[in-house]
Amino acid sequence: MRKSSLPNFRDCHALVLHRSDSNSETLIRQLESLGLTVRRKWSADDVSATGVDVVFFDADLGYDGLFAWPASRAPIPLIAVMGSEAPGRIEWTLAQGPSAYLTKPIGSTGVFSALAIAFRTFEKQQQLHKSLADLTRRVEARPVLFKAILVVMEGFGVDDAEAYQLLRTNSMKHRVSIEELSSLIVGSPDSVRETMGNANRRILRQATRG
Amino acid sequence: MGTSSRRGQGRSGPVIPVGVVFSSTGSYGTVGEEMLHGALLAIEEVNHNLEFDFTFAPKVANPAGDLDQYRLLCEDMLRTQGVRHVVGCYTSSSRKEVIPVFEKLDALLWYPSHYEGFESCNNVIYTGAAPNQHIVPLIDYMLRNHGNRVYCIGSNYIWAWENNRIMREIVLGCKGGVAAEKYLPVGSTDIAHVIDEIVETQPDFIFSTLIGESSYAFLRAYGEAGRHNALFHPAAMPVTSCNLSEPELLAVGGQAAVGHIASSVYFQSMDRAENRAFLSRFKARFGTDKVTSTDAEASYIAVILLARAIHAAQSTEIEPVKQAVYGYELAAPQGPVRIDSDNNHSYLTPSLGRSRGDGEFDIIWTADAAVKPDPYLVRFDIRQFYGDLDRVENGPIVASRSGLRVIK
Repeated sequence: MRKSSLPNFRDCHALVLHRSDSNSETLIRQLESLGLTVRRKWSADDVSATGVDVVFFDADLGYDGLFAWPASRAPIPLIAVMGSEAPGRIEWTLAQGPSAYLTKPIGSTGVFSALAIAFRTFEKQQQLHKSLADLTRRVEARPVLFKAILVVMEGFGVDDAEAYQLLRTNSMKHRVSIEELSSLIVGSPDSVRETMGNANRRILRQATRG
Repeated sequence: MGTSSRRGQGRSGPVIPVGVVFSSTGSYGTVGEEMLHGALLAIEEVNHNLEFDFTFAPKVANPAGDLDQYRLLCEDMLRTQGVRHVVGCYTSSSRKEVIPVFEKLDALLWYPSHYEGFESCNNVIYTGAAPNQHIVPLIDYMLRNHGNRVYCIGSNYIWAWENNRIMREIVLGCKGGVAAEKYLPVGSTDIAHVIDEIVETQPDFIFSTLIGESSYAFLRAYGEAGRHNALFHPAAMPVTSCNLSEPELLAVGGQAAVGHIASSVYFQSMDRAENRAFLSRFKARFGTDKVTSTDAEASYIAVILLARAIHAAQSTEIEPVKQAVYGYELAAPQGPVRIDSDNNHSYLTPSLGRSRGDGEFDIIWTADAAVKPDPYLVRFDIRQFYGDLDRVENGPIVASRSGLRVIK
């Protein structure tokens, strides 16, 4: 089945961190008409994301310790409900890393688009973080890869290009990353030939032990 | 609120000003005039009905299609003429323009037109059809009876864009295809290339969201093409629409207006006592050459519901009026109508009609009951919709131009 190009928020759970007033009433009404299940809470400390798909929070009264997660590390999309434009409030709000914003007074428009923007932005950010973490890990492993190339050059009597190719081929054959294979080789340079042959089994053993 | 009026004398009791804002001139003046007529007819009925202990004083304004005028006229009514309730607007752009005024001044807009949905405003009561009441039943019928390759042609604005988006998502979700999606500037009658492309792509049916002159020009060109190409015949490749109504059939005229399929919650040909009475009063008041339509009926409904709600609430304040209207069911010309307190839209009964030579529609399908409005298509589930199609009588077979094929 083709995935719909626009999100449908039916059956999503929203948590509204805002005191009860006309703004939160309008917001809750709009969310319910979009098919979401809504819970409102204020005040609140160490709010967790368990059972919640999206959080709307009051940017005017929000404080450190409102969320259980560190600033900017929300595991679900956050939507800031902003009234004040005092620089300190904007700064605190930005630090939470919201995926979308709504301005007060909340009217009949804006809630649906804020949800659509928040979910899309959050998804893209998650993808970016994931690929960034992957790249960082690989960059950090460069010294190990460099050492492994030297070990392979010596152990097999090949040049640097051939050594890299050997590492690549064997890492693919054993379905491990080239960085993982490199660190195994650097760990026991004397048994480089054995490591190249048994990388997969050894890694599996290590994993089982770990 | 005063007490009931005494029979045999002029009406006593409060006179309540009601805004009536339609563009009875300008680019969509034909529809605007029908809507104005529907609202005025209802106001006169209210004023003659002794059940009501008040009368309505219509404050009629004509923005002539000018967006700024919509806002200025509404603001003036609400600020200086004591108006709390306005029946008005046809296009979505005009509604979007005036909504902030109603929100700011705490008034209620009674919006009497079918539209593309994706809105739910606390200061608006919607008496026209939402997408689950117009386009969804049309797609269901076409997939069951005509095939699953659609050619979309529309006027280049939000009504066409959103309807085509819904059409595309549902048809593709049901393993069908969109032959092409074409737009003409509003008012354009440059149709020849569209006809050529239809010949080229051979769709199973056409979905038209063209409005006004563009729509008439397209239907005439379709009729003309049918003189030498058998494809352009309603039995082979019908034109379908959610905005084709009786006055437009008259405007197209002749054989070109015959055989097309329209989705609407109201047709003039509906055989109900309430509709016959509505029609005869409408013609008696505005002329026997006039025809009713879904937008005229929705305008009529809006005023009657407003009167019933004010009567029940004994107030013109918008909160009591809204609470009162939620509890009322009107036996409207189309059938039972009531307002859904979840989203301020109306429970309406979708129907499909096939156009006839006399400018009316034969009703070919009607829903079993009034359908709950779903302006954001929240409750629409493509898997369930597709699954239901599968359960058609002779198994999951849909006739396509490329021959009968099983859709799985």
